Amino acid sequence: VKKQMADFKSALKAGIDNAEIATKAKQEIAEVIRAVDAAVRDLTGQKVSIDIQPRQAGAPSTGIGISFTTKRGPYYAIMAVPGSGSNASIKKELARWEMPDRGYPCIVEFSDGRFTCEGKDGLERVLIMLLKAPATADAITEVRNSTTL
Amino acid sequence: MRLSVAWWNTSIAPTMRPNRAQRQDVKIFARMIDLMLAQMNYDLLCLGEVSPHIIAILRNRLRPYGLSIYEPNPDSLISAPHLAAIVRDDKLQLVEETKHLAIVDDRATYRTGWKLHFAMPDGLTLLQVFVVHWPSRLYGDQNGLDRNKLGMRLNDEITRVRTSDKEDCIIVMGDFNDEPFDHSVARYLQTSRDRHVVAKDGRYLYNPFWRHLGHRTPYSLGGDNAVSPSGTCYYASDRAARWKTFDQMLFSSGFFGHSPWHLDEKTVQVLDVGLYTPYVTSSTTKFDHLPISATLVREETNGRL
Repeated sequence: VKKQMADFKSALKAGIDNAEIATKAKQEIAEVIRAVDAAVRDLTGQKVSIDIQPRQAGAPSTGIGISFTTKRGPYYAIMAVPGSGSNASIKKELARWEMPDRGYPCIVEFSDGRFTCEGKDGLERVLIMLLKAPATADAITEVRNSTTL
Repeated sequence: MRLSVAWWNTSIAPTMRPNRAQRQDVKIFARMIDLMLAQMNYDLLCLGEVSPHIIAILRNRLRPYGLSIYEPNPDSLISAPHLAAIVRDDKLQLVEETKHLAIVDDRATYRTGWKLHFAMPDGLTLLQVFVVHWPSRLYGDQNGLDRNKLGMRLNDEITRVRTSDKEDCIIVMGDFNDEPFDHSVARYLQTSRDRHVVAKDGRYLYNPFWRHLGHRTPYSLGGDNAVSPSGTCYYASDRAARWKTFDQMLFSSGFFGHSPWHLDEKTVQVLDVGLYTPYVTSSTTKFDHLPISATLVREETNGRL
């Protein structure tokens, strides 16, 4: 029996389809983040903006000579940063952010937990939770009030 | 050096009816807590379905005995069954915590686990504990929950926190509302009944609760055929099999020869005690889960690290 050739054509087509799905997912996620940014800028008179930025975690000591934390190395975070109406330089981290190449599931981690968002609705629900968290309001207020005259 | 860990879904304050406990239920609950902490001396006792009110009472009563109680739920914006962890302070030091590991979709938020990282009593080893209380099958079905996703996402998280191929000491414990053989636990959480596989391949977690799917002793003529639990959770309405093994503990490869700490598997048990089990099978109380426990042992190193 002659062995059939591997179906490279179908594999490539599936890859192209997946890339399109990933591009759409990432565009959708970017739109959601832009909507949060617009809401924050609006409420703070353009003094605070929301952005996703790279960060670097240290390795805090437990005081017993060994670091047990798993939160080390580079990561991305949802940040409250000075908006166009501010001359402040302070910025505050609101949540850790992870997004795979395919867009979803993206992960938002803040004081309440680590939330895996399975789609746009899930992401919007988690970001609403984030905005409702008192620590988020404190961070945004701190950035807004840091504007120098 | 030994470290004992236990899990008990107390059933005393489920999310939907947190105040349902009667005076008799509270008394039974208190006797069980006393048994597990004062007599069995568990070092880490994780509890399911306990109300904030009960946690507050326990916190005050346990403090003089060097026991701390942690909970993931205060001020939480998500609704999930209340969990708690009672910790013997001279044995375990909490170093990191993630209150909720959760999946959020367009319908609901499902907690896959609560992550606690402890420094173990040797001060050298990190113990990573994931406490689980997955949604009931009834709730999941009503909300279109794909139960396999619970296992998949928890496995993602366990993979993320691993720091080595085989040396990590990770325990996952709780009420999965699924059996050891269900796909959510066996396939998607990557658990195995074969500890040799786990020792060789650090991606898998060993599930000793395959041993607890049936009665403790086989039936025989003239043998000890007394009625005994054949699981951890009692469903009186299931005519085919009233006991389910929904409560389980899973152990990473670190406990099978890749770290100084070892699972002492003969201590893995479903706690079947006369003062409590009859209430689980009785319709007069709300209790429907038996506790489970295990002991970890550190090999002697004669002063070497």
